[in-house]
Amino acid sequence: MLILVAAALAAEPAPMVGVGLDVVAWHTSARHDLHPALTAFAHLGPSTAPWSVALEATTARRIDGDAFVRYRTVHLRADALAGVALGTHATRFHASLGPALTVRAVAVASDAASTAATRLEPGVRGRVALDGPLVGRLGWAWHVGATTRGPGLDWDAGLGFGVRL
Amino acid sequence: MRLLTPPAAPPLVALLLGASNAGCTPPVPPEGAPLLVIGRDASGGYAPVARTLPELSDPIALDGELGTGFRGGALTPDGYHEGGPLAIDWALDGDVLVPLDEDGLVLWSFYAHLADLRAELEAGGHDVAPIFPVRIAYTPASVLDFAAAENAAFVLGQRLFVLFPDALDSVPLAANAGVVRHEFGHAWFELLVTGESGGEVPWLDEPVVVIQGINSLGEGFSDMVATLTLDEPDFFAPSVPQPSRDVRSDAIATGRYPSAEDGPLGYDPYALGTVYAALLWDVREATSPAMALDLAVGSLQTWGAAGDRDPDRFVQILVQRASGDARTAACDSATVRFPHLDVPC
Repeated sequence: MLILVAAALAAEPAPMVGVGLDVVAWHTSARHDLHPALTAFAHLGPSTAPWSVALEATTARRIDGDAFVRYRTVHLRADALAGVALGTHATRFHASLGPALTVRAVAVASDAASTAATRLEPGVRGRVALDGPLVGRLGWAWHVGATTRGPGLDWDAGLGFGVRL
Repeated sequence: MRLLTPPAAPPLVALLLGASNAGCTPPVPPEGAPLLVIGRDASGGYAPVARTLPELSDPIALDGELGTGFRGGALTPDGYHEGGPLAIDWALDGDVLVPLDEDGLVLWSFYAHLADLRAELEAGGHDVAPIFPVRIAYTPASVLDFAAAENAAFVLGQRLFVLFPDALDSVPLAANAGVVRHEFGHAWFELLVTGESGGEVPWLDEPVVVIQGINSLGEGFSDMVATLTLDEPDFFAPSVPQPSRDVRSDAIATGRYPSAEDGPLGYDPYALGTVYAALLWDVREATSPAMALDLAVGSLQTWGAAGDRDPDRFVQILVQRASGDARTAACDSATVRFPHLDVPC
């Protein structure tokens, strides 16, 4: 642990690309539904500048329903965020805001009626994140965020790992 | 926002959208369109059906003449602090509105079962109008201890239904017609006993043991409403097995009464409640569901008007008020199920 901390303190801050596992509270008709999601992310920008750009692509698949009606929902969200990046060492704090677009595809199957619907749901996403070195060129990133979608708000938190560029 | 394909959408966007309902969706559903709900047929089977629901004027916000739904909110000792409006997502399959998540399906199904019950009771000469309109809270935060064992509950004095989602892969509890009728039974219990709906609940100031006894009678009456209006002795079965609540049981009251040792949280009101409901099922077996329900309703009204707090007095009043086959059945059943009770046969 001490070696890792020393390596982190010695490293230069660097942009990173990686993947992570999120827990997302997707808002439904009447509540929030917690589900895991996969996110690919890139934290970009000059390593010494007090700002950064984050690009994210998040996908989740939910299967819900009962013996009579089955729901399959796929979410695909992409966002581009810009904000401040702070940190005197390799571990940096990011606070970002930007546009997001969620594509939600729902397939409903039952004996009485079956249909499919796709929604394009633009919104705004805000996020705070930390990222830093792990070992060598490997790094880690953690975030919490919220994204507007239609009449509601999705919440998420995640942890990821990636390559520092 | 539901706009999917702007007029000059790039081909890639159009490709992503695909299938039906991938265009602009009208913001307001067609008026009077049938809704997909989980319905119950005459044989007791459940299935998804498309049906009209004229009582539900705004299916998106779950608002209509029966009442209004709310998303979340908070249930405190001061009452229910309403959450935001519901926004049930939907799509069209032909002319049928299909909810795009199970929450919407459950909420529309609940409303449909409530509408059916109200219509049946009014056709049977029972005035339940003072109970409406109600509020329907979906997954509120709560610091109160109320009987939400069925993932649905009614809050006395508030004209409020509380619903929670469940993880069952069968009939969702809040879409189970029997569960809906049971919860409505609490509302009706309040109306019959106090003479009003949404007002003060006088027995809540009584000692805990008294409250628990009345709660047992309330649970029993609610089971009477569910079993007798559906003519179904085990209404839980399509959702989750609960054999202890089957009113065909041989349950007797001995050992099921509350005691001071139970404390406020240690007593199960359903155990004794099932005995009260089983008594009425015995009456039903000798007469008819409608006669048994009428007898239960009239007896409860009499019990409430007397200001009585002893739930067993309901049994004595019921036996006194019954006649013919109903009286014989009530006497026989009460003598066995309430062996300690002086039954006026």
